[in-house]
Amino acid sequence: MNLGARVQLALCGLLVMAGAGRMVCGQTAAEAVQDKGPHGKQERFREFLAKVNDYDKLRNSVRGGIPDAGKRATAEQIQKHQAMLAEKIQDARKDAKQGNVFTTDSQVAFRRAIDRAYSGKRAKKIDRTLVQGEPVKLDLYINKPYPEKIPTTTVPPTLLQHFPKLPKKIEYRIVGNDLVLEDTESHLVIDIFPGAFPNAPPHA
Amino acid sequence: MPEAMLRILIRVLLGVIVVVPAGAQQVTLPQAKGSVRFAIIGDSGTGERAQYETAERLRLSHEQFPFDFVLMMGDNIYGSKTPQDFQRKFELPYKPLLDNKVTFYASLGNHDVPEEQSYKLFNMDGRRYYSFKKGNVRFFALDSNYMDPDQLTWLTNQLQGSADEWRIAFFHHPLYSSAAAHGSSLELRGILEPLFQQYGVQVVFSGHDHVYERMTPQKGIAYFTEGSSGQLRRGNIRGAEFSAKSFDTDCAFMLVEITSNELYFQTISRTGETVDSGKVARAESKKESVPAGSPLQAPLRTPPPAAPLGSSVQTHPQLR
Repeated sequence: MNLGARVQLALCGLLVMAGAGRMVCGQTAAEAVQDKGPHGKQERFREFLAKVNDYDKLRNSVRGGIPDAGKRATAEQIQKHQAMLAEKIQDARKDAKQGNVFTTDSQVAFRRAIDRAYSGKRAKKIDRTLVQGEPVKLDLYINKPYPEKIPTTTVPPTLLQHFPKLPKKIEYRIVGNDLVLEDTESHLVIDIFPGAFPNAPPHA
Repeated sequence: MPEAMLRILIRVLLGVIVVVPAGAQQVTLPQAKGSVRFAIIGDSGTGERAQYETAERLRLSHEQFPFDFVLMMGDNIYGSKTPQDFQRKFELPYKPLLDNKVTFYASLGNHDVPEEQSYKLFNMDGRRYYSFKKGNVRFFALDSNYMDPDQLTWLTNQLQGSADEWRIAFFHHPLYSSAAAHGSSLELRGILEPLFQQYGVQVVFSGHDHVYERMTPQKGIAYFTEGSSGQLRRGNIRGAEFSAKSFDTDCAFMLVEITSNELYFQTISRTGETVDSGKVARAESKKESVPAGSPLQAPLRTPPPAAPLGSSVQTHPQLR
């Protein structure tokens, strides 16, 4: 065991002794420790987060001139805002390709995060959540809308604890065996990581 | 097109005139002075006959029991989400209630889209998860589709800061369910239930499974599933140790009344039959652990087939 691992182990032990080893917001102290420091979660996904933030900036930049639906909108206002925003983003990202955000390195980081989640104590429950969330299999395309008629599969909370935090109105989706990044404001698929879940449960 | 004409057209297109059978509906809630009164619907937004008929029954209940607001358990708008869909699947069936200034508070289901949080009639004010206070009750509307660490931190902070007599959570996916279609959300239960216990959430309402089900108290918390206000999975209940009462032969909704120390509920079917009723007693202390079985007691001035709460359940032909 190297020195870093010993220090981490000792730190976890101290936290447990102090009573902080219990679950905090669904995350164990050991997991919390892993998320901080130079090798923490946000650091492991630095490239991915940079790409996502670039997308968020692009989205902000094309919002000009689009009526804001606001927080208390009519259905017409919501639809109009979504459609206009989607059109502008599609124009701005017309050359977008699969892998622009989920780069090769990012895919490795996500694969490790998924493996970590599936090796934890809630592993069996993750698949159960996916099954209960009405898993779907459909063909999605980058920079095209996620079909609103199709239900979204529940993203298991354990996975969300291992994935990096996203800007507002961007969410992870699990579709078949793939991990998908969706802009929930425009409904557009930002990127797809095909086969992120090779052993995902059967889907409808 | 004028709204009245649109409404008629939709009904014609549905091939039905919404006629609610004249059931012997009798609201038996105490209607105590100063109480908090509301209804619960779940998985309602189909725009189909079952939703309209259940909504009409809800309207009739409102005449007897003038509740102020409705909690929505998610799947508020199924399928496409054009402005016409919002009309057909929400605004028209509940128009009489909306006209009577009844407020709807939505949570999001897996058939909803996140932008519904900005739809003014759902009163989410642009938030996936939110809380609001009515009288002595603090409600926590959660987004169980996407229980990310931010939401859990928010919930923890909100619960810590709540000094309200009652703390009630509602969201789409049930932590306990004996229905075959989906069943209990175990992963979510492992994360949320410890928080609910620690911070004294007394009652949890959910949907997702298209049935009505009341659980025996679990770790001091009363759990209800009401996911049959527009969709029904007939015969879907499989039964479980934790299931105290269930109803899967017709659509339904709940009426709820909260006083300082008690929560009274009555579950009514589309035909006006009372399928369940009773009360939940409030635990004294926020962090007090409540023994399983203790907070639920026998129903008050309840007509048959109301069942006593807790482990003993009255038999009724339509209940499993």
